[in-house]
Amino acid sequence: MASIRNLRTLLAIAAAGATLRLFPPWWCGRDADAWLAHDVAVESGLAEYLIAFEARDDVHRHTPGDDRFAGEWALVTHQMIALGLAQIALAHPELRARYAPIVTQAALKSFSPEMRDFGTRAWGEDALASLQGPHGHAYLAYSALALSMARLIDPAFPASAAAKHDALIAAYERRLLASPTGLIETYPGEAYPTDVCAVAAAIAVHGRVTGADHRAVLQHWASRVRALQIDRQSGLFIQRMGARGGEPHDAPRGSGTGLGAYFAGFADREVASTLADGLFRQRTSFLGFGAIREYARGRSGRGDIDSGPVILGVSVAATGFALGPAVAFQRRDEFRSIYRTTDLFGLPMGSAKGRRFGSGGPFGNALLLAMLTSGPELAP
Amino acid sequence: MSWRGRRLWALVLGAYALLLTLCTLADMDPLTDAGQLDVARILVLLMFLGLRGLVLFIAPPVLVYRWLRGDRRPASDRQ
Repeated sequence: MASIRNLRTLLAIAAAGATLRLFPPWWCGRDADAWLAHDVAVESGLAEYLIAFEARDDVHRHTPGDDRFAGEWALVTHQMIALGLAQIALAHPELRARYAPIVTQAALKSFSPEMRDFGTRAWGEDALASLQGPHGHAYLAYSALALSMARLIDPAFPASAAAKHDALIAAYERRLLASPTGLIETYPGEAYPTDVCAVAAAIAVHGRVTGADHRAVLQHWASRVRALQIDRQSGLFIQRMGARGGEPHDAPRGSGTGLGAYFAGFADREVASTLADGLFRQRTSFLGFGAIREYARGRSGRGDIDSGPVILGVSVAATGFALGPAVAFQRRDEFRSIYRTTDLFGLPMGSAKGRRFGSGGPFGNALLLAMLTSGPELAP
Repeated sequence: MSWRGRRLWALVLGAYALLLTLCTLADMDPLTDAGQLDVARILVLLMFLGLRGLVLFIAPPVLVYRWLRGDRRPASDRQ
């Protein structure tokens, strides 16, 4: 009688262990395959929440705060909404007519002078007023990429904004071709390979829109990325570098690599795929929940504004950005495991305004929209 | 499971359902549209995350364990 009871206890413990291993990942991963398949219901659900945010923002326009990071966040929020909606419009042409004007509006907002005040203050000059100058102003490539995508899907894109965009792309092309490291500065003395991926992406999509031949500059950028900007040991992007000498100013890191892989996909699939390989080598998982290490194995460091909190070696930003290349390159196992973590901490919920991740706010949801709908924007 | 245990789980599940409903209805986000952090909202979301952890990771294996052991009487009846 006692042995039957012991056997039953053992069986119950084993079943409880199996439940712990199977139930939470199943529950949190229920939507993963729908995102992988670019299901219109899940994509447009999150899109509607962000369209409602853009409409609120039009009524109660929020001017970004004075500090650099508040300005960057505001610019990136509108940029990512524009990119996400444009990607959905490419995947689902029936939504193009509805989304195109909103994409243009969000992209133009990210391009407005008040959105780039943080960069103007850093350089002591406005990026658009100094196009002939040598300073990189690479932060504005985030807006330039959004404008490129808006022009790609919106036939009614305003001509005056297109002319400014053409001039900015020409300046970026000239500066990038002149750089022996394939880097241009974001702020004085600081170059971020991730931001230069956004520059290359903006140039590449501009070429698709206008028919301009940007192959020389894109080949130059891709060769410099492979030769100088990727850490050979870890496969990660060096987060911050000197633009002239290419010397590292920071460690190889997951957050920059994840976002860089997403941006690089617009310009060069091979570069994006190489970065994604490095990124997924830093994947770690527990009970089926995956995350990306901020610093390569064997290294350690603290979190900052780029990575968000680093907990047990993994960072919020690196994990979130990894969703983009995972879905774009259909890395199904990596995507499912990372999506489960996103679902667990993101608290997805629905409402009359659409679906959203409750813990993300407009900024986090905008980033997730762009990452989760990635794929249609990949370079041919 | 004892009646106290059952009441505790009912409380956890009830609080989770209540928070889910409130957050859904009130569009509760930790960042305001202007990108400012709101401490009260963060506390609500941390509570939400804690309860979600209990509901997803603790409750199912405990229920399976109890069910398979076939020990469904309240502890007060098993003296």
